[in-house]
Amino acid sequence: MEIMEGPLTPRLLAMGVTPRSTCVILQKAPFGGAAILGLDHHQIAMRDEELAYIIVDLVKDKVS
Amino acid sequence: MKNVALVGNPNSGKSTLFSKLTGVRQKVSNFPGVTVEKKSGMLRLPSGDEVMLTDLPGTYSLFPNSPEERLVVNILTNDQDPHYPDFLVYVADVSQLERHLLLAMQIRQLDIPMCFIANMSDLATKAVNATALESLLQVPVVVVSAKKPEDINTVKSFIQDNILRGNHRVSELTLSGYPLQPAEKEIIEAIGEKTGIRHGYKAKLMAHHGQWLDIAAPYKSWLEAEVAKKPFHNMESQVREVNYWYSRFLPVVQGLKTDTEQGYQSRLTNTDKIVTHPVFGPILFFAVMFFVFQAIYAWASYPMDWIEGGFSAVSTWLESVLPAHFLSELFIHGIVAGLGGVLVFIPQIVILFLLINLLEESGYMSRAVFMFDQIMRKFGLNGRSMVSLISSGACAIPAIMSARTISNPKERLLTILVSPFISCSARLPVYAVLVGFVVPDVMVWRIFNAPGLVFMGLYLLGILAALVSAWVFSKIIRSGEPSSLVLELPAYKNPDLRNVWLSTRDKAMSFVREAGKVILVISVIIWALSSFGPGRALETARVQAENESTERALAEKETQLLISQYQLEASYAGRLGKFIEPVITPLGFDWKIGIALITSFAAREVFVGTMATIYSIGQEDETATLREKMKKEKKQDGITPMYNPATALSLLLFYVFALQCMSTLAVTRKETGSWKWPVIQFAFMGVLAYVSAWVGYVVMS
Repeated sequence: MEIMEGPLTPRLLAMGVTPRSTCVILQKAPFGGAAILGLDHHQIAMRDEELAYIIVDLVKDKVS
Repeated sequence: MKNVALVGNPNSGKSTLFSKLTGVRQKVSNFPGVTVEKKSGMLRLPSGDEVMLTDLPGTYSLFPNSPEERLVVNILTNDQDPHYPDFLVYVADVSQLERHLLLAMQIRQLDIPMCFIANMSDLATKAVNATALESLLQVPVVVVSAKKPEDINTVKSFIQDNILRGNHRVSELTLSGYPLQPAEKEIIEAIGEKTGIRHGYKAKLMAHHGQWLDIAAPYKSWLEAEVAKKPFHNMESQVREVNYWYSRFLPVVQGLKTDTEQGYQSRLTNTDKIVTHPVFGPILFFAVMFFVFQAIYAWASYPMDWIEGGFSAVSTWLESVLPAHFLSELFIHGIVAGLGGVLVFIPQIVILFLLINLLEESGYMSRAVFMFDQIMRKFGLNGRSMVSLISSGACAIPAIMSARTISNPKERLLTILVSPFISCSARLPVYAVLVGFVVPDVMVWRIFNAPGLVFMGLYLLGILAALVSAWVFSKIIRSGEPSSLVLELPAYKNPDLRNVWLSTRDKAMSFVREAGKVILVISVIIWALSSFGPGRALETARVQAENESTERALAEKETQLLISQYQLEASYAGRLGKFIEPVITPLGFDWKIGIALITSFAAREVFVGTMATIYSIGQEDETATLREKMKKEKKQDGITPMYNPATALSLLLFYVFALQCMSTLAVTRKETGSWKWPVIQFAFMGVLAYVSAWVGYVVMS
């Protein structure tokens, strides 16, 4: 996982969305526009725009 | 007395620890100048000494994104700030050290004496090695569980030992450890030379936050020019620094862990599978909200009846014992009645906040915010606004107060501004009296009752008005804060009931203290308007009524009612009603309605009482009798009925939109901190009410 630089980058970093950690989309919001991101030790809800800052390498196709 | 502050990330168990340490001796106020809640209280140490403990808002890093976090940075960097702590107690959750150490590393650069509490929120977590953390942070560390009572005493002695002995180890982690880039070094040196602030990390924070940092205020424009001139990249430097701290502490944290908990959060808990489910999630939310609504709407009515009954009993008793004098009148009908008008809101406020705090503490609220973010955002609101808007259906007072949990200032303001559009319970009596004049009591398509449909229409209109005006305001009001949603979803936990109760109690107290004053004053003014007239006008009215009563040979009770009617007409309120008649004639209203509009500014339901006085009806079964009287009322020509469907609809529309509630104004003032917004709210809603009442009247007649 990499983070693109933008106004929210320090925020994301401080909330534990850090490079080289693994993440997975766990749930889409009922009315769209946001999703729950599962990280190593916690979960964060984020809008799609903010998720766009995160660049990932695919590790596993689907988490069972 | 020493100032001790609790700092840490949100959801670190800081607030629970705070309430355990201070007990009931805590007090909630505002940090001056900002609407950030400040919780402080006395902490008695085992030695008997007392310190002032303040719970600073939860913060992720010294590169803040919200007003709360900016406040923390301002306090911690400015030793002239009245809240500047003599000693810091840092609270982190053992299971979340991977994140909770970042802020600790940054705060260590500020050289404030500090100790570190590693809190095991989850009793199943394996204890961590305090020594490794101590050598990383160079501060004393204790590992406890805030849930265990004996550990609270450990925390107290730990704080005592470290404050009293001045026992904090000198920082070895100054910025020298951080590999400064040439550009960073250059700006720090330039700032040091210009301002005399030789503290490297403070200077770096000034370079980052020159726009709002208190210690940078005298140099604001210089800093702006300097940062623009120098090859210093604000964002890049922040990212670099955060990454550096991570690289320092992550290896230590990983060394602490005996078992690999990797991937623990890579699946939804079973609870969240349902709670945030695309279909069941919203259904559950509305079920919960229906329960909340029901609780404030129905349950609160019992204590409200007791309060109202109690106050009217007290007034009756006072009337019988106090001499008939204008001061007694002022006391009974102005002050005592006004006090009753303040206290009657307490049950609703208490019930709403008990429930909201429970939802908040359990972790449910952040899920709800996540689910409704997208919908509410379209109107410039926040997922949390949903809770305020739904609560408004019972009463706008607690609803507006509940907007406090919205951290984006603009979204919070919008929620406050539009909440009163939702039809509250006080509008019901007004709707009940009038709706019968708009449509006959017949069935539509055999299943719907016509007045019921109109009722529903009025509620829908309110909702529509709230959403549309939120959207309009969101286009007009300038936003200081970019809207974003990066929201931690904490693990579900059992709410700390004492915390829930204390914060509910504080909400009720602050309402009485701050909004209460305004409500009391307006209530005295309205009382004075309706009990005094110019010169001897009221005396003349009494004589006139008595003469008429002798002529018509009326009974004692009816005479009294007639006197009240004539006196109200002769009072200043009556004059005002007549005075505004030209303005409200286009809406189909006469001066009698004018009087009711003025007096019902105290509270909408007063409309019914005033109309009853105007039509000389006693207090018993007033609605039914009032409707009969109103039906008979003719216009000046003596033929056309006054309350035709057009007038009634126009009046209904007026009450749907108009801010006929002094308590709402008082609470908006309290929550926004100035008269500007209540005035705008009142004017905006008033204009909308006037225009739609006029349109309704013209279309129907």
